[in-house]
Amino acid sequence: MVEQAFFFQNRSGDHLFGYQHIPQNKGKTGIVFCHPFGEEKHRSYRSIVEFSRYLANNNVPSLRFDMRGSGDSDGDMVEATVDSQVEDTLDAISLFIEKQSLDQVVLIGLRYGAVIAALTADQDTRVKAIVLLSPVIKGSIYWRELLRTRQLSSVSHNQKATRSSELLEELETNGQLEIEAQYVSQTFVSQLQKIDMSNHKPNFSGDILVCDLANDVINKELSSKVIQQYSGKECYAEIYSEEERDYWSNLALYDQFYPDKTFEFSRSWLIKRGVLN
Amino acid sequence: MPVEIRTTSDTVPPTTPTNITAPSGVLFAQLHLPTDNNFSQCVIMLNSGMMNRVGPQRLYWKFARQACEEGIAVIRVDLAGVGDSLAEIDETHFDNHRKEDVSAIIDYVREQWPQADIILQGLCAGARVSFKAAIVNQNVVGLLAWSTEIFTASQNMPQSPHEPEDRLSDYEVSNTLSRFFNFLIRFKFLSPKWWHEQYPGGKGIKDEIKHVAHCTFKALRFSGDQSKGEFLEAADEYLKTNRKVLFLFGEYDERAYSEFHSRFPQIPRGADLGQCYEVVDKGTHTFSTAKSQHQLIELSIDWLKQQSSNISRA
Repeated sequence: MVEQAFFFQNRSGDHLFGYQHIPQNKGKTGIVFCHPFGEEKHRSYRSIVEFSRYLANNNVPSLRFDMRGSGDSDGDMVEATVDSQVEDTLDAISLFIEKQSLDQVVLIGLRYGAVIAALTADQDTRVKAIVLLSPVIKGSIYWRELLRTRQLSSVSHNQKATRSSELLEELETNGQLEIEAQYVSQTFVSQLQKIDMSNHKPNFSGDILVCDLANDVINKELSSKVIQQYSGKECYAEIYSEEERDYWSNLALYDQFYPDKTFEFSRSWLIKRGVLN
Repeated sequence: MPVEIRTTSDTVPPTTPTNITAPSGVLFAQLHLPTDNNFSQCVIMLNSGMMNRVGPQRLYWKFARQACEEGIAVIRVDLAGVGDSLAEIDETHFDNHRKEDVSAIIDYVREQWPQADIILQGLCAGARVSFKAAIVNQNVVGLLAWSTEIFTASQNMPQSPHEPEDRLSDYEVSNTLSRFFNFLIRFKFLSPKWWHEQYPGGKGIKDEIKHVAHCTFKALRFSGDQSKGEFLEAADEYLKTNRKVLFLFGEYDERAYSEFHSRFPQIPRGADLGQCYEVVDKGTHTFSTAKSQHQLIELSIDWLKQQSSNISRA
Protein backbone atom coordinates (compact mmCIF):
# COMPACT_ATOMS: atom_id res chain seq x y z
CA MET A 1 0.00 0.00 0.00
CA VAL A 2 1.25 3.49 -0.85
CA GLU A 3 0.28 6.63 1.05
CA GLN A 4 0.95 9.89 -0.68
CA ALA A 5 0.41 13.49 0.39
CA PHE A 6 0.26 16.27 -2.18
CA PHE A 7 -1.24 19.64 -3.06
CA PHE A 8 -3.45 20.21 -6.07
CA GLN A 9 -5.16 23.26 -7.50
CA ASN A 10 -8.90 23.69 -7.53
CA ARG A 11 -10.72 25.63 -10.25
CA SER A 12 -10.11 28.90 -8.36
CA GLY A 13 -6.36 28.34 -8.21
CA ASP A 14 -6.26 27.55 -4.46
CA HIS A 15 -3.84 24.85 -3.39
CA LEU A 16 -5.80 22.09 -1.70
CA PHE A 17 -4.16 19.41 0.39
CA GLY A 18 -4.83 15.81 -0.54
CA TYR A 19 -3.74 12.49 0.90
CA GLN A 20 -4.30 9.27 -1.01
CA HIS A 21 -4.06 5.65 0.10
CA ILE A 22 -3.38 3.37 -2.84
CA PRO A 23 -3.37 -0.42 -2.44
CA GLN A 24 -1.36 -2.60 -4.82
CA ASN A 25 -4.37 -4.45 -6.25
CA LYS A 26 -6.90 -1.71 -6.52
CA GLY A 27 -10.17 -1.91 -8.43
CA LYS A 28 -11.85 0.75 -10.55
CA THR A 29 -13.82 2.37 -7.72
CA GLY A 30 -12.26 4.82 -5.29
CA ILE A 31 -13.50 6.51 -2.13
CA VAL A 32 -13.39 10.28 -1.63
CA PHE A 33 -13.92 11.53 1.91
CA CYS A 34 -15.74 14.78 2.69
CA HIS A 35 -14.64 16.21 6.02
CA PRO A 36 -16.76 17.83 8.76
CA PHE A 37 -16.74 21.52 9.66
CA GLY A 38 -14.19 23.19 11.97
CA GLU A 39 -13.13 21.40 15.11
CA GLU A 40 -15.22 18.32 14.34
CA LYS A 41 -12.85 17.80 11.43
CA HIS A 42 -9.78 17.90 13.65
CA ARG A 43 -11.24 15.70 16.35
CA SER A 44 -12.30 12.99 13.92
CA TYR A 45 -9.12 13.22 11.84
CA ARG A 46 -7.34 10.11 13.03
CA SER A 47 -10.53 8.02 12.84
CA ILE A 48 -10.90 8.93 9.17
CA VAL A 49 -7.20 8.19 8.60
CA GLU A 50 -7.85 4.77 10.11
CA PHE A 51 -10.88 4.34 7.83
CA SER A 52 -8.68 5.08 4.79
CA ARG A 53 -6.05 2.61 5.95
CA TYR A 54 -8.70 -0.03 6.59
CA LEU A 55 -10.04 0.43 3.05
CA ALA A 56 -6.55 0.35 1.53
CA ASN A 57 -5.78 -2.87 3.39
CA ASN A 58 -8.88 -4.27 1.68
CA ASN A 59 -7.74 -3.12 -1.78
CA VAL A 60 -9.92 0.01 -1.92
CA PRO A 61 -8.12 3.25 -2.87
CA SER A 62 -9.20 6.46 -1.13
CA LEU A 63 -8.56 10.16 -1.13
CA ARG A 64 -8.91 12.53 1.79
CA PHE A 65 -8.62 16.21 1.04
CA ASP A 66 -9.09 19.57 2.75
CA MET A 67 -11.59 21.96 1.21
CA ARG A 68 -10.49 25.60 0.82
CA GLY A 69 -10.32 27.37 4.17
CA SER A 70 -9.84 24.10 6.07
CA GLY A 71 -6.93 22.01 7.34
CA ASP A 72 -3.73 22.37 5.32
CA SER A 73 -5.42 23.90 2.27
CA ASP A 74 -5.16 27.51 1.18
CA GLY A 75 -7.48 30.23 2.22
CA ASP A 76 -9.58 31.19 5.17
CA MET A 77 -12.99 29.84 5.99
CA VAL A 78 -14.49 33.25 5.23
CA GLU A 79 -13.76 32.66 1.55
CA ALA A 80 -15.62 29.34 1.55
CA THR A 81 -19.28 28.75 0.81
CA VAL A 82 -21.31 25.57 0.59
CA ASP A 83 -21.16 25.93 -3.21
CA SER A 84 -17.36 26.39 -3.22
CA GLN A 85 -16.96 23.29 -1.07
CA VAL A 86 -19.04 21.27 -3.52
CA GLU A 87 -16.82 22.63 -6.32
CA ASP A 88 -13.72 21.59 -4.38
CA THR A 89 -15.16 18.09 -4.00
CA LEU A 90 -15.94 17.88 -7.73
CA ASP A 91 -12.32 18.94 -8.45
CA ALA A 92 -10.99 16.36 -6.02
CA ILE A 93 -13.07 13.63 -7.69
CA SER A 94 -11.74 14.60 -11.13
CA LEU A 95 -8.18 14.58 -9.88
CA PHE A 96 -8.52 11.23 -8.13
CA ILE A 97 -10.21 9.53 -11.10
CA GLU A 98 -7.53 10.84 -13.42
CA LYS A 99 -4.57 10.08 -11.15
CA GLN A 100 -5.71 6.55 -10.33
CA SER A 101 -7.46 5.68 -13.62
CA LEU A 102 -10.75 4.99 -11.84
CA ASP A 103 -14.21 4.61 -13.38
CA GLN A 104 -16.30 5.81 -10.47
CA VAL A 105 -16.22 6.99 -6.88
CA VAL A 106 -18.08 6.64 -3.59
CA LEU A 107 -18.34 9.73 -1.41
CA ILE A 108 -18.13 9.23 2.35
CA GLY A 109 -19.02 12.31 4.36
CA LEU A 110 -19.00 12.79 8.10
CA ARG A 111 -21.37 15.31 9.80
CA TYR A 112 -21.30 18.51 7.70
CA GLY A 113 -19.16 16.65 5.16
CA ALA A 114 -22.17 14.37 4.57
CA VAL A 115 -24.12 17.37 3.28
CA ILE A 116 -21.30 18.21 0.88
CA ALA A 117 -21.17 14.57 -0.25
CA ALA A 118 -24.92 14.50 -0.96
CA LEU A 119 -24.91 17.85 -2.81
CA THR A 120 -21.88 16.82 -4.87
CA ALA A 121 -23.50 13.51 -5.80
CA ASP A 122 -26.43 15.49 -7.25
CA GLN A 123 -24.05 17.08 -9.74
CA ASP A 124 -21.71 14.26 -10.73
CA THR A 125 -22.71 11.00 -12.40
CA ARG A 126 -19.32 9.53 -11.58
CA VAL A 127 -20.53 9.19 -7.97
CA LYS A 128 -22.08 5.74 -7.65
CA ALA A 129 -22.83 5.69 -3.95
CA ILE A 130 -22.76 7.96 -0.92
CA VAL A 131 -22.21 7.00 2.68
CA LEU A 132 -23.40 9.65 5.14
CA LEU A 133 -21.92 9.28 8.62
CA SER A 134 -24.03 10.94 11.34
CA PRO A 135 -25.06 13.56 8.81
CA VAL A 136 -26.03 17.12 9.57
CA ILE A 137 -29.58 17.03 8.26
CA LYS A 138 -30.97 20.48 8.89
CA GLY A 139 -28.52 23.28 8.20
CA SER A 140 -30.53 25.72 10.29
CA ILE A 141 -30.21 23.49 13.37
CA TYR A 142 -26.50 23.03 12.75
CA TRP A 143 -26.04 26.78 12.37
CA ARG A 144 -27.79 27.27 15.72
CA GLU A 145 -25.35 24.75 17.25
CA LEU A 146 -22.41 26.71 15.83
CA LEU A 147 -23.85 29.95 17.18
CA ARG A 148 -24.29 28.29 20.56
CA THR A 149 -20.61 27.29 20.67
CA ARG A 150 -19.77 30.94 20.13
CA GLN A 151 -22.20 32.01 22.88
CA LEU A 152 -20.93 29.37 25.29
CA SER A 153 -17.33 30.36 24.68
CA SER A 154 -18.19 33.96 25.60
CA VAL A 155 -19.86 32.84 28.84
CA SER A 156 -17.03 30.50 29.81
CA HIS A 157 -14.56 33.37 29.30
CA ASN A 158 -16.31 35.43 31.97
CA GLN A 159 -17.59 37.77 29.29
CA LYS A 160 -21.09 39.09 29.07
CA ALA A 161 -23.52 36.57 27.60
CA THR A 162 -24.24 37.35 23.96
CA ARG A 163 -27.71 36.95 22.49
CA SER A 164 -27.94 35.14 19.18
CA SER A 165 -29.76 38.18 17.78
CA GLU A 166 -26.67 40.29 18.56
CA LEU A 167 -24.45 37.80 16.77
CA LEU A 168 -26.73 37.73 13.76
CA GLU A 169 -26.67 41.52 13.69
CA GLU A 170 -22.88 41.39 13.77
CA LEU A 171 -22.98 38.94 10.87
CA GLU A 172 -25.19 41.26 8.88
CA THR A 173 -23.16 44.38 9.65
CA ASN A 174 -19.71 42.90 9.00
CA GLY A 175 -20.75 40.31 6.42
CA GLN A 176 -18.91 37.72 8.53
CA LEU A 177 -18.92 36.23 12.01
CA GLU A 178 -16.26 34.54 14.10
CA ILE A 179 -16.97 30.89 14.90
CA GLU A 180 -14.17 28.81 16.45
CA ALA A 181 -11.46 31.41 15.67
CA GLN A 182 -12.36 31.55 12.01
CA TYR A 183 -14.78 33.78 10.16
CA VAL A 184 -17.73 32.48 8.22
CA SER A 185 -19.36 34.65 5.59
CA GLN A 186 -22.99 35.63 5.34
CA THR A 187 -23.20 33.75 2.04
CA PHE A 188 -21.99 30.58 3.73
CA VAL A 189 -24.52 30.98 6.53
CA SER A 190 -27.42 31.64 4.12
CA GLN A 191 -26.52 28.59 2.07
CA LEU A 192 -26.11 26.46 5.18
CA GLN A 193 -29.45 27.52 6.61
CA LYS A 194 -31.25 26.53 3.42
CA ILE A 195 -30.03 22.93 3.67
CA ASP A 196 -32.64 20.43 4.74
CA MET A 197 -31.70 16.91 3.80
CA SER A 198 -34.98 15.57 5.13
CA ASN A 199 -36.75 17.62 2.49
CA HIS A 200 -34.09 17.47 -0.20
CA LYS A 201 -35.10 16.54 -3.74
CA PRO A 202 -32.08 14.58 -4.87
CA ASN A 203 -30.80 14.47 -8.40
CA PHE A 204 -28.87 11.30 -7.70
CA SER A 205 -29.68 7.77 -8.67
CA GLY A 206 -27.02 5.71 -6.93
CA ASP A 207 -26.97 3.93 -3.58
CA ILE A 208 -27.10 5.72 -0.25
CA LEU A 209 -26.21 4.48 3.20
CA VAL A 210 -26.85 6.61 6.29
CA CYS A 211 -24.94 5.59 9.43
CA ASP A 212 -26.18 7.03 12.70
CA LEU A 213 -25.18 6.47 16.28
CA ALA A 214 -27.43 3.85 17.85
CA ASN A 215 -28.31 6.18 20.72
CA ASP A 216 -28.92 9.32 18.63
CA VAL A 217 -32.70 9.09 18.51
CA ILE A 218 -33.27 12.53 16.99
CA ASN A 219 -30.86 12.13 14.08
CA LYS A 220 -32.13 8.59 13.43
CA GLU A 221 -35.65 9.91 13.02
CA LEU A 222 -34.49 12.63 10.64
CA SER A 223 -32.33 10.14 8.75
CA SER A 224 -35.38 8.00 8.03
CA LYS A 225 -36.90 11.06 6.32
CA VAL A 226 -33.72 11.47 4.27
CA ILE A 227 -33.99 7.84 3.22
CA GLN A 228 -37.59 8.42 2.14
CA GLN A 229 -36.50 11.33 -0.07
CA TYR A 230 -33.94 9.13 -1.80
CA SER A 231 -36.12 6.02 -1.98
CA GLY A 232 -38.61 7.92 -4.13
CA LYS A 233 -35.90 8.25 -6.78
CA GLU A 234 -34.05 5.43 -8.45
CA CYS A 235 -31.92 4.96 -5.37
CA TYR A 236 -31.33 2.11 -3.02
CA ALA A 237 -31.29 3.65 0.47
CA GLU A 238 -30.53 2.08 3.82
CA ILE A 239 -29.88 3.13 7.43
CA TYR A 240 -27.32 1.55 9.69
CA SER A 241 -26.92 2.31 13.38
CA GLU A 242 -24.80 0.26 15.70
CA GLU A 243 -21.97 2.43 17.01
CA GLU A 244 -22.70 4.11 20.31
CA ARG A 245 -19.75 6.47 20.62
CA ASP A 246 -19.04 9.49 18.52
CA TYR A 247 -15.57 10.26 17.23
CA TRP A 248 -15.87 14.00 16.54
CA SER A 249 -16.55 15.48 19.99
CA ASN A 250 -13.94 16.87 22.34
CA LEU A 251 -13.65 13.53 24.12
CA ALA A 252 -12.36 11.91 20.93
CA LEU A 253 -9.09 13.80 21.37
CA TYR A 254 -8.34 12.26 24.75
CA ASP A 255 -9.89 8.88 24.34
CA GLN A 256 -9.54 8.00 20.69
CA PHE A 257 -12.10 5.70 19.23
CA TYR A 258 -12.20 4.13 15.80
CA PRO A 259 -15.68 3.11 14.62
CA ASP A 260 -14.59 -0.30 13.35
CA LYS A 261 -18.16 -1.57 13.02
CA THR A 262 -19.04 1.32 10.71
CA PHE A 263 -15.85 0.74 8.67
CA GLU A 264 -16.73 -2.92 8.19
CA PHE A 265 -20.43 -2.43 7.56
CA SER A 266 -19.88 0.35 5.00
CA ARG A 267 -17.40 -1.72 3.04
CA SER A 268 -19.49 -4.89 3.08
CA TRP A 269 -22.61 -2.86 2.14
CA LEU A 270 -20.77 -1.35 -0.85
CA ILE A 271 -19.67 -4.85 -1.90
CA LYS A 272 -23.23 -6.15 -1.50
CA ARG A 273 -24.50 -3.29 -3.67
CA GLY A 274 -21.93 -4.19 -6.33
CA VAL A 275 -20.13 -0.82 -6.06
CA LEU A 276 -16.94 -2.36 -4.71
CA ASN A 277 -15.43 -5.69 -5.72
CA MET B 1 -13.83 44.09 13.63
CA PRO B 2 -12.44 40.84 12.18
CA VAL B 3 -8.78 40.11 12.87
CA GLU B 4 -6.67 39.65 9.80
CA ILE B 5 -4.20 36.82 9.67
CA ARG B 6 -2.18 36.77 6.50
CA THR B 7 -2.77 33.48 4.76
CA THR B 8 -3.24 34.29 1.10
CA SER B 9 -1.51 32.04 -1.37
CA ASP B 10 -0.04 34.96 -3.35
CA THR B 11 2.36 35.96 -0.61
CA VAL B 12 2.92 32.76 1.33
CA PRO B 13 5.54 30.27 0.11
CA PRO B 14 4.11 26.85 -0.70
CA THR B 15 3.88 24.03 1.83
CA THR B 16 5.71 20.77 1.18
CA PRO B 17 4.58 17.49 2.74
CA THR B 18 7.33 15.17 3.93
CA ASN B 19 8.01 12.04 5.96
CA ILE B 20 10.57 11.71 8.73
CA THR B 21 11.76 8.39 10.07
CA ALA B 22 11.79 8.26 13.87
CA PRO B 23 12.13 5.50 16.49
CA SER B 24 8.32 5.10 16.69
CA GLY B 25 8.02 4.82 12.91
CA VAL B 26 7.36 7.22 10.04
CA LEU B 27 6.16 10.68 11.04
CA PHE B 28 4.30 13.00 8.69
CA ALA B 29 5.22 16.69 8.50
CA GLN B 30 4.45 19.83 6.53
CA LEU B 31 7.41 22.06 5.65
CA HIS B 32 7.10 25.81 5.25
CA LEU B 33 10.35 27.07 3.79
CA PRO B 34 10.97 30.76 3.13
CA THR B 35 11.78 31.76 -0.44
CA ASP B 36 15.29 32.67 0.68
CA ASN B 37 16.65 29.21 1.41
CA ASN B 38 19.36 30.68 3.61
CA PHE B 39 17.04 31.14 6.60
CA SER B 40 18.60 31.29 10.04
CA GLN B 41 15.78 29.86 12.18
CA CYS B 42 13.65 26.77 11.94
CA VAL B 43 10.70 26.19 14.27
CA ILE B 44 9.57 22.61 14.85
CA MET B 45 5.90 22.59 15.90
CA LEU B 46 4.90 19.68 18.14
CA ASN B 47 1.30 18.49 18.48
CA SER B 48 -0.98 19.76 21.14
CA GLY B 49 -2.02 16.41 22.61
CA MET B 50 -3.74 14.34 19.92
CA MET B 51 -4.68 17.38 17.82
CA ASN B 52 -2.99 17.09 14.43
CA ARG B 53 -0.40 19.40 12.85
CA VAL B 54 -3.01 21.96 11.81
CA GLY B 55 -3.46 22.82 15.49
CA PRO B 56 -6.57 23.86 17.39
CA GLN B 57 -8.65 26.20 15.22
CA ARG B 58 -5.84 26.02 12.58
CA LEU B 59 -3.51 27.86 14.95
CA TYR B 60 -0.36 26.02 13.84
CA TRP B 61 -1.18 26.50 10.17
CA LYS B 62 -1.68 30.24 10.69
CA PHE B 63 1.53 30.59 12.70
CA ALA B 64 3.57 28.63 10.15
CA ARG B 65 2.44 30.70 7.19
CA GLN B 66 2.99 33.99 8.94
CA ALA B 67 6.40 32.99 10.32
CA CYS B 68 7.45 31.74 6.90
CA GLU B 69 6.56 35.08 5.38
CA GLU B 70 8.90 36.64 7.95
CA GLY B 71 11.76 34.43 6.78
CA ILE B 72 11.46 31.75 9.48
CA ALA B 73 11.24 28.09 8.38
CA VAL B 74 8.58 26.02 10.10
CA ILE B 75 7.92 22.29 10.27
CA ARG B 76 4.53 21.18 11.52
CA VAL B 77 4.87 17.58 12.63
CA ASP B 78 2.41 14.81 13.42
CA LEU B 79 3.98 12.81 16.23
CA ALA B 80 3.28 9.10 16.64
CA GLY B 81 -0.41 8.21 16.78
CA VAL B 82 -1.47 11.65 15.55
CA GLY B 83 -2.74 12.95 12.19
CA ASP B 84 -1.27 11.24 9.13
CA SER B 85 1.77 9.66 10.77
CA LEU B 86 2.20 5.96 10.19
CA ALA B 87 3.86 5.64 13.58
CA GLU B 88 1.55 4.50 16.33
CA ILE B 89 1.65 5.19 20.05
CA ASP B 90 2.05 2.40 22.55
CA GLU B 91 0.99 4.41 25.59
CA THR B 92 -2.23 6.36 25.99
CA HIS B 93 -1.79 9.13 28.53
CA PHE B 94 -1.16 12.85 28.69
CA ASP B 95 2.63 12.63 28.23
CA ASN B 96 2.69 10.00 25.51
CA HIS B 97 4.73 11.98 22.97
CA ARG B 98 8.26 10.52 22.86
CA LYS B 99 11.30 12.77 23.13
CA GLU B 100 13.21 10.26 20.98
CA ASP B 101 10.87 11.03 18.07
CA VAL B 102 11.44 14.76 18.56
CA SER B 103 15.20 14.09 18.51
CA ALA B 104 14.80 12.37 15.14
CA ILE B 105 13.05 15.46 13.77
CA ILE B 106 15.83 17.68 15.13
CA ASP B 107 18.43 15.46 13.41
CA TYR B 108 16.46 15.73 10.16
CA VAL B 109 16.48 19.53 10.35
CA ARG B 110 20.20 19.63 11.25
CA GLU B 111 20.99 17.48 8.26
CA GLN B 112 18.82 19.40 5.78
CA TRP B 113 19.51 22.96 6.93
CA PRO B 114 22.66 22.99 9.07
CA GLN B 115 22.74 26.80 9.09
CA ALA B 116 19.42 27.09 10.94
CA ASP B 117 18.96 27.57 14.66
CA ILE B 118 16.40 25.10 15.93
CA ILE B 119 13.51 26.26 18.06
CA LEU B 120 10.94 23.81 19.40
CA GLN B 121 7.36 24.94 19.79
CA GLY B 122 4.63 23.07 21.60
CA LEU B 123 1.21 23.72 23.07
CA CYS B 124 0.16 21.98 26.31
CA ALA B 125 1.50 18.39 26.05
CA GLY B 126 3.60 19.53 23.08
CA ALA B 127 5.36 22.09 25.26
CA ARG B 128 6.14 19.43 27.84
CA VAL B 129 7.82 17.11 25.36
CA SER B 130 9.74 20.06 23.89
CA PHE B 131 11.55 20.55 27.23
CA LYS B 132 12.34 16.86 27.52
CA ALA B 133 13.75 16.81 24.00
CA ALA B 134 15.68 20.05 24.43
CA ILE B 135 17.75 18.81 27.36
CA VAL B 136 19.06 15.88 25.34
CA ASN B 137 19.62 17.99 22.20
CA GLN B 138 22.06 20.83 22.61
CA ASN B 139 21.20 21.90 19.05
CA VAL B 140 17.94 23.32 20.34
CA VAL B 141 18.56 27.01 21.00
CA GLY B 142 15.09 28.11 22.01
CA LEU B 143 11.60 27.02 23.02
CA LEU B 144 8.22 28.55 22.35
CA ALA B 145 6.17 27.05 25.17
CA TRP B 146 2.48 27.79 24.69
CA SER B 147 0.02 26.97 27.51
CA THR B 148 2.52 24.72 29.24
CA GLU B 149 0.83 22.49 31.80
CA ILE B 150 3.27 22.56 34.70
CA PHE B 151 1.63 19.72 36.54
CA THR B 152 -0.31 17.12 34.61
CA ALA B 153 -3.58 18.30 33.09
CA SER B 154 -7.00 17.61 34.57
CA GLN B 155 -7.59 14.75 36.95
CA ASN B 156 -9.66 13.02 34.25
CA MET B 157 -6.66 12.65 31.99
CA PRO B 158 -4.88 9.27 32.14
CA GLN B 159 -1.71 9.87 34.10
CA SER B 160 1.75 9.25 32.74
CA PRO B 161 3.79 6.56 34.53
CA HIS B 162 6.78 8.91 34.12
CA GLU B 163 5.23 11.60 36.28
CA PRO B 164 4.75 11.52 40.07
CA GLU B 165 1.49 10.28 41.49
CA ASP B 166 1.23 13.38 43.66
CA ARG B 167 0.55 16.01 41.05
CA LEU B 168 -1.31 18.50 43.17
CA SER B 169 -0.38 22.13 42.76
CA ASP B 170 -1.19 24.83 45.28
CA TYR B 171 -3.70 26.16 42.77
CA GLU B 172 -5.44 22.79 42.46
CA VAL B 173 -5.50 22.39 46.26
CA SER B 174 -7.06 25.78 46.91
CA ASN B 175 -9.51 25.36 44.05
CA THR B 176 -10.63 21.94 45.25
CA LEU B 177 -10.97 23.03 48.86
CA SER B 178 -12.97 26.12 47.97
CA ARG B 179 -15.30 23.93 45.92
CA PHE B 180 -15.59 21.58 48.89
CA PHE B 181 -16.41 24.40 51.34
CA ASN B 182 -18.95 25.73 48.90
CA PHE B 183 -20.49 22.25 48.82
CA LEU B 184 -20.68 22.21 52.64
CA ILE B 185 -21.95 25.69 53.36
CA ARG B 186 -24.64 25.59 50.69
CA PHE B 187 -25.89 22.21 52.01
CA LYS B 188 -25.61 20.76 48.53
CA PHE B 189 -25.06 17.31 50.03
CA LEU B 190 -28.72 17.33 51.13
CA SER B 191 -29.92 17.56 47.53
CA PRO B 192 -30.38 14.18 45.81
CA LYS B 193 -30.62 16.08 42.48
CA TRP B 194 -27.14 17.53 43.00
CA TRP B 195 -25.67 14.09 43.68
CA HIS B 196 -27.41 12.69 40.63
CA GLU B 197 -26.14 15.47 38.38
CA GLN B 198 -22.58 15.42 39.68
CA TYR B 199 -22.11 11.67 40.02
CA PRO B 200 -24.63 9.82 37.86
CA GLY B 201 -24.94 6.24 39.12
CA GLY B 202 -22.48 7.00 41.92
CA LYS B 203 -19.61 7.00 39.43
CA GLY B 204 -16.57 9.01 40.49
CA ILE B 205 -17.58 9.66 44.12
CA LYS B 206 -14.75 7.56 45.49
CA ASP B 207 -12.12 9.35 43.38
CA GLU B 208 -13.49 12.74 44.35
CA ILE B 209 -13.37 11.90 48.07
CA LYS B 210 -9.80 10.68 47.64
CA HIS B 211 -8.91 13.86 45.79
CA VAL B 212 -10.38 16.14 48.48
CA ALA B 213 -8.55 14.14 51.16
CA HIS B 214 -5.25 14.49 49.28
CA CYS B 215 -5.81 18.22 48.89
CA THR B 216 -6.60 18.60 52.59
CA PHE B 217 -3.44 16.74 53.63
CA LYS B 218 -1.36 18.78 51.23
CA ALA B 219 -2.83 22.05 52.50
CA LEU B 220 -2.09 21.03 56.10
CA ARG B 221 1.51 20.18 55.22
CA PHE B 222 2.14 23.60 53.59
CA SER B 223 4.52 21.75 51.32
CA GLY B 224 4.17 24.08 48.35
CA ASP B 225 4.60 23.04 44.73
CA GLN B 226 7.46 20.63 45.33
CA SER B 227 6.26 17.94 42.98
CA LYS B 228 8.97 16.58 40.67
CA GLY B 229 8.82 14.40 37.64
CA GLU B 230 10.39 13.96 34.22
CA PHE B 231 8.92 17.18 32.84
CA LEU B 232 9.76 19.43 35.80
CA GLU B 233 13.28 18.04 36.02
CA ALA B 234 13.72 18.72 32.30
CA ALA B 235 12.34 22.25 32.64
CA ASP B 236 14.63 23.03 35.60
CA GLU B 237 17.64 21.66 33.76
CA TYR B 238 16.79 23.55 30.58
CA LEU B 239 16.36 26.86 32.39
CA LYS B 240 19.74 26.38 34.11
CA THR B 241 21.48 26.18 30.73
CA ASN B 242 20.36 29.74 30.00
CA ARG B 243 18.96 28.72 26.67
CA LYS B 244 16.03 30.78 25.40
CA VAL B 245 12.39 30.20 26.21
CA LEU B 246 9.22 32.22 25.83
CA PHE B 247 6.28 30.91 27.87
CA LEU B 248 2.92 32.15 26.63
CA PHE B 249 -0.34 31.69 28.50
CA GLY B 250 -3.91 32.69 27.84
CA GLU B 251 -5.41 35.11 30.33
CA TYR B 252 -8.31 32.72 30.94
CA ASP B 253 -6.08 29.67 31.32
CA GLU B 254 -5.87 30.42 35.00
CA ARG B 255 -4.72 27.06 36.24
CA ALA B 256 -1.77 26.65 33.87
CA TYR B 257 -0.70 30.24 34.40
CA SER B 258 -1.01 30.09 38.21
CA GLU B 259 0.89 26.83 38.41
CA PHE B 260 3.63 28.25 36.21
CA HIS B 261 3.86 31.37 38.34
CA SER B 262 4.08 29.42 41.57
CA ARG B 263 6.65 26.93 40.24
CA PHE B 264 8.85 29.36 38.26
CA PRO B 265 8.61 32.72 40.08
CA GLN B 266 12.07 33.69 38.81
CA ILE B 267 10.92 33.97 35.18
CA PRO B 268 10.10 37.63 34.41
CA ARG B 269 7.11 38.85 32.44
CA GLY B 270 7.73 40.61 29.11
CA ALA B 271 8.36 39.00 25.76
CA ASP B 272 11.68 40.73 25.17
CA LEU B 273 14.09 38.62 27.20
CA GLY B 274 15.85 35.33 26.63
CA GLN B 275 13.82 33.55 29.32
CA CYS B 276 10.49 35.20 29.92
CA TYR B 277 6.73 34.80 29.88
CA GLU B 278 3.79 36.77 28.57
CA VAL B 279 0.02 36.55 28.88
CA VAL B 280 -2.28 36.77 25.88
CA ASP B 281 -5.33 38.97 26.47
CA LYS B 282 -8.55 36.97 26.81
CA GLY B 283 -6.73 33.86 25.61
CA THR B 284 -7.93 30.39 26.55
CA HIS B 285 -5.82 27.25 26.87
CA THR B 286 -5.95 26.70 23.10
CA PHE B 287 -6.30 30.38 22.13
CA SER B 288 -9.73 29.80 20.69
CA THR B 289 -10.49 33.28 19.35
CA ALA B 290 -9.07 34.99 16.27
CA LYS B 291 -7.89 37.94 18.36
CA SER B 292 -5.99 35.83 20.88
CA GLN B 293 -4.48 33.72 18.08
CA HIS B 294 -3.36 36.92 16.39
CA GLN B 295 -1.68 38.24 19.54
CA LEU B 296 -0.06 34.89 20.30
CA ILE B 297 1.40 34.67 16.79
CA GLU B 298 2.63 38.27 16.83
CA LEU B 299 4.30 37.85 20.25
CA SER B 300 5.96 34.61 19.18
CA ILE B 301 7.28 35.92 15.86
CA ASP B 302 8.50 39.19 17.40
CA TRP B 303 10.35 37.23 20.08
CA LEU B 304 11.89 34.90 17.50
CA LYS B 305 13.08 37.84 15.41
CA GLN B 306 14.45 39.60 18.46
CA GLN B 307 16.30 36.51 19.64
CA SER B 308 17.65 35.60 16.20
CA SER B 309 20.32 38.27 16.50
CA ASN B 310 21.57 37.14 19.90
CA ILE B 311 20.81 33.41 19.86
CA SER B 312 24.00 31.40 19.85
CA ARG B 313 24.40 27.71 19.59
CA ALA B 314 25.55 26.07 22.80
